[in-house]
Amino acid sequence: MELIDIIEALGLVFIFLGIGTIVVSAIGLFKLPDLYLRASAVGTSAGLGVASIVLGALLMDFSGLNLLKAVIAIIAQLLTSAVGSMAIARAGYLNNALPAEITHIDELRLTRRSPDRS
Amino acid sequence: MSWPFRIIGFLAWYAKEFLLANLSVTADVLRPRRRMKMRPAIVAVPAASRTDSEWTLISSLITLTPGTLTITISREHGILYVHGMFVDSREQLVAEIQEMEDRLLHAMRREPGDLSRPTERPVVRPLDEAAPPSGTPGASAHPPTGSGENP
Repeated sequence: MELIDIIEALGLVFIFLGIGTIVVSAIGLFKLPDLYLRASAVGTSAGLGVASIVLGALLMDFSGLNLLKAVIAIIAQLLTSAVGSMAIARAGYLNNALPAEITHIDELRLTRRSPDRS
Repeated sequence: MSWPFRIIGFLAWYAKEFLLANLSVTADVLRPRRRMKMRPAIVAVPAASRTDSEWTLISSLITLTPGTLTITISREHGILYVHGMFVDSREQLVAEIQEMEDRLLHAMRREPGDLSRPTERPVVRPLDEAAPPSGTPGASAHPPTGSGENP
């Protein structure tokens, strides 16, 4: 009985860690200055946040089938969130969403058709 | 090290980097705005990837690490355009990305093979300006910080 209690508590800890990560990245969405920094910050919730919630749920209700489901869910989530971030960032750059002023190097700008168009 | 162990080693190394990057991004978001250490930059990183799967994996892994984001790639020039959140200098981000790519390629290829990268920065122009007007033959390299200049 004791071991099960410990594992269940551990699952709760992971779930709350995930919730905390998602809340912090939501704060980041408001605080950060431009599209690219926001996309980077949301990466923390999409990766670590969701992964640790899934892991916590797995620990609270462990079985072989659930383990398989959790592994598939985490891998699929990581791959798709990365591709989605890249698509959003690329679309933003092509639509003239220029990086914020504090961006001190921008080498992609050299490939733009007319750099002063904003 | 033999190949399967290199894969496991890469996964462990990546997990460590992933957690550290998560911590630093979270810490910076929670800092008050005035004391944020953020120095974002978009840098062209020369890459050693060759096949489609290598390009896909390296750009996904860069994006997955919080704080770095692949905006686009140029396969013909062998360049990854990476947006970094904490960039002190161009060389620092390039070294970080190239270390990750080296480890990834060692894990993906049975034999590491050709890991050379383009050393000279290529002339990348928009498509309809591909033929440069005569009179700018000296424009063979990007200026190191091109953000302030409009060519």
